[in-house]
Formats: sequence, C-alpha cells, structure tokens
Amino acid sequence: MRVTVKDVTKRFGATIALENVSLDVGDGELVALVGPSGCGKTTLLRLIAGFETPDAGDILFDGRSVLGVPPERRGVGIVFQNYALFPHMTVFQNVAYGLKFRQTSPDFVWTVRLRRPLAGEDVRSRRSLVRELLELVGLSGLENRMPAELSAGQQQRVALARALAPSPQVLLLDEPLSALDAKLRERLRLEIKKIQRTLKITTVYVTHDQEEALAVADRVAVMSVSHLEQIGTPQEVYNTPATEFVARFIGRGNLLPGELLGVDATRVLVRPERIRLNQSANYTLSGKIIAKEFAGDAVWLHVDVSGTALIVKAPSPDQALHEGDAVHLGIDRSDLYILPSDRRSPPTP
Amino acid sequence: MSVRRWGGEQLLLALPVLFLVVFFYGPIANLLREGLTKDGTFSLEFLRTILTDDYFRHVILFTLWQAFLSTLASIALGLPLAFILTHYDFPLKRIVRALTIVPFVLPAITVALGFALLFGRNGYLNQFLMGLFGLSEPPLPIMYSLAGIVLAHAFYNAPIITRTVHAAWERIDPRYEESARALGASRFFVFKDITLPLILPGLLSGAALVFLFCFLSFPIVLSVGGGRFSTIEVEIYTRVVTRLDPQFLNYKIGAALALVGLAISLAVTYLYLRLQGGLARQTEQLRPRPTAPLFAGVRDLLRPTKLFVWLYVLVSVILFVGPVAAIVVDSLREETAEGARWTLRWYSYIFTPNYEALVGDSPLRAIVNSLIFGLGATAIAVPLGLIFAYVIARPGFAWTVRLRRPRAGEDVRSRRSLGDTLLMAPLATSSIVLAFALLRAFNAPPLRLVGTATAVIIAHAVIIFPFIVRALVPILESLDVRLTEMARSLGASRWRALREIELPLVATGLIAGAVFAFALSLGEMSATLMLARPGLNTMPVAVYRFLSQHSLGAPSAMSVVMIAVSAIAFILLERWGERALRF
Repeated sequence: MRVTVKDVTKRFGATIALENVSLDVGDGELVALVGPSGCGKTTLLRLIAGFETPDAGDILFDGRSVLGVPPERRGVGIVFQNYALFPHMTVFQNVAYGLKFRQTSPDFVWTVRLRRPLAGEDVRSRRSLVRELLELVGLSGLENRMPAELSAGQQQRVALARALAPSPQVLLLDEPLSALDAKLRERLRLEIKKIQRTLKITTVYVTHDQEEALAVADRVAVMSVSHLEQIGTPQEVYNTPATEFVARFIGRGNLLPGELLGVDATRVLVRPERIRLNQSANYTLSGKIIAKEFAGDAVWLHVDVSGTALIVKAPSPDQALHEGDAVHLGIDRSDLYILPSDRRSPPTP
Repeated sequence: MSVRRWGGEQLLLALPVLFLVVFFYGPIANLLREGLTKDGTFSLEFLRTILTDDYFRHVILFTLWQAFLSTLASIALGLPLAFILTHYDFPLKRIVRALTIVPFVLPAITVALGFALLFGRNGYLNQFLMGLFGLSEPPLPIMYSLAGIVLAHAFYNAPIITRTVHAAWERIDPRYEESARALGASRFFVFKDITLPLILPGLLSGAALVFLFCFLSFPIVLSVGGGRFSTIEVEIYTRVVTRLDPQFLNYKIGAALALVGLAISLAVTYLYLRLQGGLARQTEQLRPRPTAPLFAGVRDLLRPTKLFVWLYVLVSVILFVGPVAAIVVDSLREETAEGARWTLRWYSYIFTPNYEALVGDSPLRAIVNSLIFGLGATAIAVPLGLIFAYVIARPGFAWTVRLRRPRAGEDVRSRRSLGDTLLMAPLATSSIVLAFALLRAFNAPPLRLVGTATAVIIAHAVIIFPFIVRALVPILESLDVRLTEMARSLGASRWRALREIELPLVATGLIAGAVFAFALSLGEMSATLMLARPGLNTMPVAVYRFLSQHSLGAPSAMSVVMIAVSAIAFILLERWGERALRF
C-alpha cells in the first residue's frame, strides 16, 4: 500500500500544526518522521490514521483519497507511545480485539503475511493466529497476563502484535520506543525493523530521536516546525543535508566559516569523524583542546581554532590527548559539504 | 527502610481512635447487645420478631426498594451530565462541574422543603401547570408519594453518580478509543468494549454509595413521604420518641431494627470498598480528552444527541434549580387579605427571640444553637480528623487490612487500610442509629449527657468525622515528603518543618475542611431531632417542625440562611478543596 500525503495543512485554532506538507511512502517502505517535539509529526500520523481531518490537501492510499474513510475502515495499525493497551483485557484479548471486526467478508482469510500461504493451506484459527503473533514479537506464554503485569518492553511488543493482528495495510508507529530505556530501545528498534521487513508492510515511524530514525528507516523525513525540511535516505540526510536545520538536527557537525578554510562559501559543514588529528590533508588547522569527552569507542574533542569551536571525533584511545594540548586538524576536500543556501556562486566545474 | 518505629505520630492517633471508641464503637456495640438480649441473657427473640412479622418485613423491604429505585433514578439523572461534562465545552462548565459537590453541603431538609414548595398540591409547579392547562387537579402529585421520595433522593444523589462517572470517564486515555478504532471497531463497539467497561467500576462504586445514602436517608423520607412511608430509620425514630414505653419494648425492637439496618448498610459499604479498590489507577495521561463545543450552530441543535442534551437540561433545571428557587421565592412572599405580596417579614421573624409553639423554641434560639453546635462539632472533628488523616496519609502507613490480594503494580495507597475501614463504619451508620445508641449509652452516670448540648455536639462530631478525614486525606497525600526532608536536611527541626513547610501548604485545604465540617453540622437533622430537648432545637429541626405543620415562609427564610452557609462552604471547597471529596 502506497501512502501519499499531498499538500496537507492542519490548524488547531490559531496555531498551524502542518503547512503544505507532502510525503510519499512507497509500498513496503519504512519512512521515519523525525523532528523536535511539537513539530507536527504526530499530527501527520494522526491525519494518516484518520483521527484528524486536514484543513487543506489530501491523503491517498494507493492513489485513492481516504479523507471520507473513518479510522476503523482505513486498515491501519497504530502503536502509541504509551501503547494504550486496553487495561481491562488480557494480552490475548488485546491482540485478538482487532480480529473481531475483520470477519466481514466470507472469504476473509486471517493471515499474517509471514510468508506466502502454501497451496491448500488451512485458514488459521483466531487463537493460533494470536499465538503466532505473540511468538513473532517474542511473548509466547503471556496470553493470560493483564497489561499492568507486563514490563514496559513487553507492553510495547503486545501493542505491536495487536496492531499487526488484523493484517493492516499500513503500520503507524508514534514514538514506539521513547518510554523505554536506552538498551531496550536499541534492541527493539532492530526487532521492529526485522518484523517490518518480514511482513513488507508500509510503515511510518515517528520519533524525535534522529539516531533511531537513521537506524531503522529506508528513508528519513526531517521536520522542523510545521513543515518538511528534507526527505531522503539516512545517508543523504546525513551527508548532504538540504538545510541548516537538517545539518544541525541530524548527527553532530561543524558549520565553519568559509574563510577559515579559504573556501568560497559562507559556511562549510564538516562531520566530526571526518577530521583527522595531526595528519596532513588538503586543509590543516591548528588549535587547542579545550574539553574532552570519553565515549568508550571514541573520544570527542572540543577544539578551539582561533576563536571558532570545533568538535572532533577521534578514535579511542590510541592517542594520549589532554585538555590544553595543541593539535593539528586535517580535513580533506572531499569531506567538505556546502549547504545549498551557503553557496556563493554556482560551483565551477 | 522497613523498620517501623512507633513514634509520636502513632501515639497521636490514639486521640481520634479513643474518641471513636468512646462515642461511636462503644455505644453502637452496647445498642446491638440490647437488641440481642432479653432480661440480661442472650436472646434472638427481637431479631426473630422483626424478621418474621409482616409489618417489619414490609418496612425492611420498603427501605431496600426505595433505595434501589432512588439509585436507578440517580443514575438516570446523573449519567447524562457525566457524558456532557466529559464530551462538551460550554460556558460555566467549571461551575456546573463544581456544583456536583452541593449535595454534600446542602441540608437534606431544605431539599424536602423545596420539593414541598415546588411539587406540593399548592406548589408552584402544580399551580403553574393547572393554570396553563386549566386543570382542576394538580398534574404532578409527587409530594407524599414514593415517586416524591425517589425524586428527592435523585436530586440529592445524582451529582454523586455524575462525579464518580465523570472522574472515571475523564481518566480514560483517548488513545484507548483511538486504538480500538484503528483496529476496526465502530463507535458503538468502542463504547461497548472500551469505554463502558472502563467507566463501569466508577459507576458501580458511585451507585453503591448512593444506595447506602438512600438506604440511610431520614429527613427526606420523613418530610417528602409525609409519614405515609416507614423505613427502618423512620421506624426506629418513631419508636424511640414514643414516650409511652414502660417495658422498653420499643427500645428492644429499635435496637434489633438497628442491627438489621447496620448489617445491610455494612454489606453495601463492603461492596463499595471492594468496587472502589477495583478502580484501576490509570497511567499518566499525556493527551487530554478532546471536547466539542456544546453550542455549535443552529443546525447542530437538532441532531438527536443534542435534542437529548436539551431535554436533559430542561429536566435538570426544573429538578435541581426549581426547589432552591422555590425556597428563595417563598421566603420573600406572604399571603395577605389582598393577595400575595413581596416581603422581608419572614427574615425579621426568624431573628425574633419570641417562643414559637411549632418549634418548641424561639426561631432565634434555633439559629444560635445551630451556630454553637456547628462550631463545637467543628472544633472537635477537625483537629481529630486532621490527626487521623495525617497519620493514615503518610506513605509509610501500612496497617493494611487485606480484603483481597493486591494486584501486581497496584498502588499501596489504594489498598483498603485499617484507617479506611475504621472510618467507613461511622459513614455506614445512620445518624438515627447513632443518636439512639448515644441515648442509651449516656443516660446514666458516670456520663449523663442525654438532654445536654454536649450530646448533640458529640453526635455531630462523630457524624462529620469521616467526611472530614476523607476530605483531608487527599490534601495531605499531595504533600511531597521530600519537601519536609529537604527542610530537615537544611537544619529545621521536625516541629519547624511541620509549622513552616507542611502547615502553610495545607492551610487552605484545612480551612475548606473546617467550613465543610461546619456546613455538615449545620445541616444535620436526624440525630439532632432524636437528641433535642426544648432549648436544643436547631435550624433544620425548626424547618422540619414548621414543614410538618404546613407552615411556610419562616422555614424558607431559615433555609435560605442555611443555603447561604452551604454556598460559602461550596465556594471554599471549590477553590481550595479540589482534590477533596473524592468519593
């Protein structure tokens, strides 16, 4: 199922939540919507789900407008940040709830598309389907627990299984991991991605964590206040950000004045891991270490180069570096990136 | 950290517990013993009498029946308002929501008076309808009927249903409903599968409380029923105040009736506690529930939901505003030879010190008595209630009576503690039975209190005590222990921390609690009526006596005075006691 958001504008009273936002999510693709809190990414998700109606623009599933279609008939699965597991139902009842309403056509087949059904394969019962889903998310045996008796991570998995049960065409994840601790977050985002790949389900994944977005997504859509800044693969938004906002929001970076390197641009973007310590390169800068953060596999150095602060990621811990030490920073020409808005003249061939 | 030390705090608790034991548990136990003995030995004779005799059986069944009908009527009347408050925005919504605490502070006898003025044969509404349609008979014969009792109870208790259901409804995270929609559920299924099961515990616990209040109701049954209907309370009252009882037979029967009544009300209370304990504490809600404006254009007015809303508004204005308005109007009208006219005569009359035969005292005496008793009861109940609430609100307080196993993840505070159980017993005991027990326990030395103001004050203090504690506990629970700990780590002594940190933070809540206590005492009629002797009558008793003689005007003026005090209590509670009265 292809999801198209076309020139959508949404206001809440006087505040504009979304302005002229367009987004195209291909069949089976996972697009991460990332941006600071309050930028309108959750609103966009709620518009796709049908909980809100746009003031202008259109939302299309496979080219057909779904604006008049109520949420229960859009065929979307949704996972909220707090999971919203029905507190009065068991895990089984929660997961099975959506199946109750998918019985409308006589030839309806309850299948999770883990794989193509074999020829002559039986239609699975609701019970075995729920079992299979719980197995998929790694929660076998917890069918009769109440949501309050589960850990946050388990609740998250139940919420995912519940959303997947009715075989939705589109999966919407609203900050699905932000209530969890860092370790669990990293593990679960991998699992979500794996499940999404297996089911080949079109997915919109809302998060405020750019690292998470880069890790899970096929494409990342970066939002600032009420509009989209850039859509592209994780590599594109990281290496060639379209705007200063994207450059600053995705990863860490140095936006240096062009004069510092003698480049004909207002500013140049250099990623911290591209700067090499005490090695010769196209450009060499001399500075002094003013602060040092140890990060296990790397060391982050804050370097002062004649009044400009730079951040450098150096491999750890092969060099004995101390605050106050003088260092030379080497930067290759190929590691420079100039934002479109900072280009002074068309690049000369 | 689990070492439990018995410090000053626990010893302080002895004060309110001693008070309850001497003036509540002891006398009640004594009364029940009287119902179970004959000539000093154990006997089930009286209990058997009231359980086999057709008349007493009828009284007990009628008490249950009217309470059941009243609960249904309260639900029918309270539920729509809970729906409207949860789903719509409208001007004055805050006020309407706040007004649902009015039943706790409005004296029951004023409701009876308002009903008489509005729905009586010569009541404003019947007169108006007769004039409008040219009828010769009043079209709404509600006074002195079961329907009248049920409606008056609904007036009084529907707001409790509204409060409990609205509280439960508002706590439902809208994402539950949205998740269900996304899973394919239509609006109907969302309501049936998600909303209803989640508000049901609130509804049932509210209904149990309403049933309890209606089961124990006395002034409304007596005045609106007009003596035609006898409930357990009315029966005990009439038997005990019958002076011609040389064999003390009526006392014995009364005590046995009290035993049966208490058994039933304790069972209902137990049910209420169970249901309330089952109210799931929901996770922190991040998204407030969306609301729609109630007035959304002219065409919207005709949608079925809105038509239903308008019908409800009409009924509730007549039922809720009507009686109070009728009292105010009546207090300003008098009949003269030339017809009715506006007057302030009743107000000057109630402040005269002249003896009034209908009351048995001067009206002014009744007003002064009400003030004295109110202040006295407040002075006893608030400090004792504060100590009690302070101790049981401490996070470390762990005298848990386990009615059931705690669920996983359940908040310790939501478990029913011994404190709650101790408290609910006075709440589950009718004022009539309490007064009866006090009459029997303190009619001889060493403590001869019957016939004194002290007896009335003590009865009031016992009656309002549980309300005060329940109002104060949430306020004290909201105190962050870390603030005290911070003050102590900065060098303040325990006493200074109490005085400079905790007390200032709960001061407004305490004042609201004290005014609430005063208003409750001011409106108390049942126990006062049983304990009152000439010279000890209060305003509600005076209103009852006027009303039972069909003398109007003066009781209305007196009721306006009481309503004014209730209004002050209401405003303070609304301002400062938001979390209080979380029934």
